[in-house]
Amino acid sequence: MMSNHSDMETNENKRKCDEALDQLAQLFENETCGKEDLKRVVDQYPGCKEELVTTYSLWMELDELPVPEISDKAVTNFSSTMEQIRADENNQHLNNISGYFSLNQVMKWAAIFILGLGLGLIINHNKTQTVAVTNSVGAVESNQTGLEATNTTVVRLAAIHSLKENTDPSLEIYEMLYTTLTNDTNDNVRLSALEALQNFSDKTRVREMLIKAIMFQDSPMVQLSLLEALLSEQNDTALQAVKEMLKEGLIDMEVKIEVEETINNI
Amino acid sequence: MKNNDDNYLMNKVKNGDLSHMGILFERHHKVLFGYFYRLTGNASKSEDMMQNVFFRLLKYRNTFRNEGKFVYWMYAVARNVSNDGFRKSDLLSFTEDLTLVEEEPSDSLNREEELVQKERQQHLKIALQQLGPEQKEAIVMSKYQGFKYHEIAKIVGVSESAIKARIRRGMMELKKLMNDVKS
Repeated sequence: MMSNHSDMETNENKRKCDEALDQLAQLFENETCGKEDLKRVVDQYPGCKEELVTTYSLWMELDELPVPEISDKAVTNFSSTMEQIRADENNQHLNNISGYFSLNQVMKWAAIFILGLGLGLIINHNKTQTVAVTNSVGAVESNQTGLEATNTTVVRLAAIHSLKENTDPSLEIYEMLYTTLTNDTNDNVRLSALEALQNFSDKTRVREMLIKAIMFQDSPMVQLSLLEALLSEQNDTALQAVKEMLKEGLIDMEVKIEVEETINNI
Repeated sequence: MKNNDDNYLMNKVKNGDLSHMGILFERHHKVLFGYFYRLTGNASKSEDMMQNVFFRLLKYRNTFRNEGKFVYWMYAVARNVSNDGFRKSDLLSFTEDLTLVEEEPSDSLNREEELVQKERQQHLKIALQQLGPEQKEAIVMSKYQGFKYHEIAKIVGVSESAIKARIRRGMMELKKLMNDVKS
């Protein structure tokens, strides 16, 4: 009889302490959980004081377990692998394009495109369209004879690719690449046009185009690629132009931070 | 959605702008490393696992649905990496560098107190490693990653009360393990 009574008492205590610990666990959710909170629970369940205090102390003690510094290697490994992945994805993209088109086909498309471009230039000779860019830049008059008018993305990319190989490009080709860089709706096409123009960046006119093109980019990625292309030239005029744009707040904030770092490194 | 919050950046990555993964990495790699280190007690494994998470985020970027916080998704991926890690290696390999990280000696503690404290930390670290995976995960996510119970519940896929129960039972178990380790 006595034993039964004692068992019941023990079970009752255990139940109460489970309840008390449950309340304490609820308090652990709060980052500011402190001794006053513990005291409140202890006051409510005085029979479970020892259990509550030791649990609370252990919870607080967990804060003191240190974590080592992460190695620089892990960070640089990640960065270089990321670069590799980006390059692989770009290559894969180009390979997909070249899979669709043999060299002959590319040349054929390029020829058709250039013919179309010539016709377009003649037809649209006097037509200009106003392109809204940004409030700060205002409206810019631009000839819309880019690659986009009639061609799919794949064809546009292939055409740019073939133009890039041109060893003696004319001003029209620069203009066409510039129009594509500033007007095409597809980021990849714009990046490809940038890459093609970069091949001719020893020409002053092309550098001017690259500088001007920055303000027409809504994609931070293209904006950053453009700025980095200009800075890689280490040309004073380009550097000055980039600095002015940074000062005037025309550059996307994330891009600005990265470009400032690049400038500092120069 | 602000143009610098995690979800915005992850959406950019999903749409092909991989450069934003670098920003997400910068923001989260340290806490994620800490998460794995608390779970495994092994720094080099934790670095590998941390990197693995970011590669998986990249690989499965098309599955990002932008329905909850980015970090919930990131930790869901981290849990998978962690589970794979545990499946692939035995527990011993994960607890091989259980020695504590050296810290600057505190001025306020004398040498003996310092040694006692270090020893206790060592015991606690070993005990934490011996805790059941579900309880350890709940404690680590709440204590170190700063998640509320309902957030952990969301990541783990159980109820909020289940998380609270895991923490309560985990702490009881941890106390027992601490005594076992000491003795």
